[in-house]
Amino acid sequence: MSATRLGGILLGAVLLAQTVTAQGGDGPATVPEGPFTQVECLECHGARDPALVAQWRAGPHAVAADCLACHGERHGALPKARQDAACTGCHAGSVAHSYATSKHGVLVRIGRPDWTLPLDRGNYRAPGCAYCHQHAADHGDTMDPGRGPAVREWICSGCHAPRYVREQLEAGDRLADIARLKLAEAQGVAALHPAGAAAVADLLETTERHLRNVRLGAGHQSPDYQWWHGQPALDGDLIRLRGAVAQALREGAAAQQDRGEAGPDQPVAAGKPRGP
Amino acid sequence: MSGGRVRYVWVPVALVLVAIPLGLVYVHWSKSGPGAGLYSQVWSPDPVQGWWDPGRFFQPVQGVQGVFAADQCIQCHEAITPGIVADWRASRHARLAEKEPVACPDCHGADHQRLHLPTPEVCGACHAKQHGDFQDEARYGFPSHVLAMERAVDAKHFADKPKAEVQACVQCHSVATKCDSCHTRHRFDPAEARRPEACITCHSGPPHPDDETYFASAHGRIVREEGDAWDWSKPLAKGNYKAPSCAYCHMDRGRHQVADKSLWKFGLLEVNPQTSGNRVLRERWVALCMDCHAEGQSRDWLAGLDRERKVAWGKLYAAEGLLKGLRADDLLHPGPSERPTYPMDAPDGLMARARIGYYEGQASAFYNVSGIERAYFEMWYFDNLGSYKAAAHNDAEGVTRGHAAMDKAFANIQFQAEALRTLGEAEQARDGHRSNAGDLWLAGPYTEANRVGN
Repeated sequence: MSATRLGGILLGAVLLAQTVTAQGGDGPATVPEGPFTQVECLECHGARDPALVAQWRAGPHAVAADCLACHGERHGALPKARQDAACTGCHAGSVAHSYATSKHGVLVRIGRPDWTLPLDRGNYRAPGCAYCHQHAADHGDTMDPGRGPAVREWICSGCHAPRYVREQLEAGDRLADIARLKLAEAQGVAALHPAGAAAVADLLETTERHLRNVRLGAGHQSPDYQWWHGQPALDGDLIRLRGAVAQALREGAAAQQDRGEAGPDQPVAAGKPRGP
Repeated sequence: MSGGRVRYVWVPVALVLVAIPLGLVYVHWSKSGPGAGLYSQVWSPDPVQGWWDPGRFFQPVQGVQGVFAADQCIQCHEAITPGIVADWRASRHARLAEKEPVACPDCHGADHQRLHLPTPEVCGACHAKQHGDFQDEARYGFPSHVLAMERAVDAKHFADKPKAEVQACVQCHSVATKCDSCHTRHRFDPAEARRPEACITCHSGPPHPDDETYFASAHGRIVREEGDAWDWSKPLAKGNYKAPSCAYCHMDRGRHQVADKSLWKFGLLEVNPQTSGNRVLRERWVALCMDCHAEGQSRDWLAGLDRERKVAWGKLYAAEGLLKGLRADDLLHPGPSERPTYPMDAPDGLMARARIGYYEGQASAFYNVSGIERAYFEMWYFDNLGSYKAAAHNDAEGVTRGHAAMDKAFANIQFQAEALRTLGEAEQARDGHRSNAGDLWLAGPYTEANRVGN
């Protein structure tokens, strides 16, 4: 064997070893570490993992987050992409906070998860963002309501009894339904405003934000978002809307009286608030 | 003494003899309904309540038959619920040095059709000291962990609101009915429970921002910066931790007793900190702070908290005074008879009265009230309790923020009170009475569903 040929084999072995390390064992032998551009990612993975790329294209991230946003520009960053920090840069505010205060968020925060493991059942003490939303390397959103309850039940039941999961998910739906009733009530009350619902648009906007908090609380299992940032906050919105409507009606009645119109003593709010 | 007077004595005695057993029968009846607690007759539990209060409401599935040993449970559940099996394997229960492992049937039972979720009593069978401490909290009343569920279901809004809505409450109040609020299943590792993060799922949000105020304090900042590198398997004892976690102070020396230093009662009501009983509680705090700090410094901090509370209650009483003035002149809008009533308060409809302040039950009156009452509820429950938490956790900026919020809320309440007075008095002069709110507070899809749904 010539020295050149031996050198070539050794170089090949070194390159192979590097790639294997970087890829966690399942990458092609010839892939360098990077850095790559988005175009280069798609060029290669479009051929290698067409289903995965198609999932990403059809999913919510295609419009806002490219491969590099979660994976960085070099190979070997899979464990990093699985961590919550890869998500919370964009998904900040109440989305991140409702999860961070849940038991799941707490256990991920204080535990030492082995992020080199695939996002599969039995591999994690508690789910990070990606465990549920990108379960088993899903590149869409596994928790998309369109996927139906069976998908959620399967993922949650990796740790929880199937009946527990089913009943908790149903309870979350009921909780959100109640919050939607409150929004409908708010819209009905706003419609009674003598200057039109536009006069209380800011209060209605707050109501919608609090409805979202309830949904985040149910989805992320945060009692604090279900309750204090959610249901009683919605109760406060309803009261403020009613107060604004009542005051406007009373002031209107007083002004009318000053102009000498209409008879006195009419209830300020006849009729029911209408639903949406 | 004449014979006639002696006979009259028997009238009140007979009335008392009848009234006492009747009262006992009534309380027994009111607690024996489908729900739980004082108002159990007026509500039935949501289907998920059994997961939060298993001792009272859990029903096992009937789909799987058989009596199983631990290895059989594991064999099946390794496939069905691999996460919890992995957790249990990593727990101390699975690796007891001198004993058989504590395995599935020990806590859940072996007959699959009669399975149960472990209550504190089940855990207490082995962890007797911790369970005893926990039960001992009841001596000190509320706030405490052990009475949390009782107080939740005995709240009027709990009985009144849709049960699917208030199941959000029992997720935290279940700290009284099961141990895994802090000792997360199925690892139950004390090293997890000792960390402040173990508490924040419940101790967060507007009425009790313990997480924000603690992590903003010097204690919390140290733990946040350095805590990940600490050995949390050490007991909560002097010298083991550079800065205290929640549990270091509130469950000092690992005692499962959070109520025996509860002096200021969450900031919910005004307390006189100088009663003889409260002086005993204060000495417990001073002794604890002295694990790290000088005695004088510890006393100064606690005195600072007394002063903060006095100022806060001055502001709150001023607001309550405005509300009570409006109530006295029938200027609250809607008036008490123009808003939804609690189901168990139907007889009160004859003498409806707005609830103002802690002792009148305003803690439950946050949805069926007028705007100005809600504004006071938020000042009292959110701004004031937030200030209290900041003062207690030594978060100076939080105190400043909280008191600024209270001042703003008071100005708003004053403004609303003036508007209500101007409008109402003009109406009274014109029509002889304040205008009626009609059904503005009584109608709407949620309000109606709540009337018929309970």
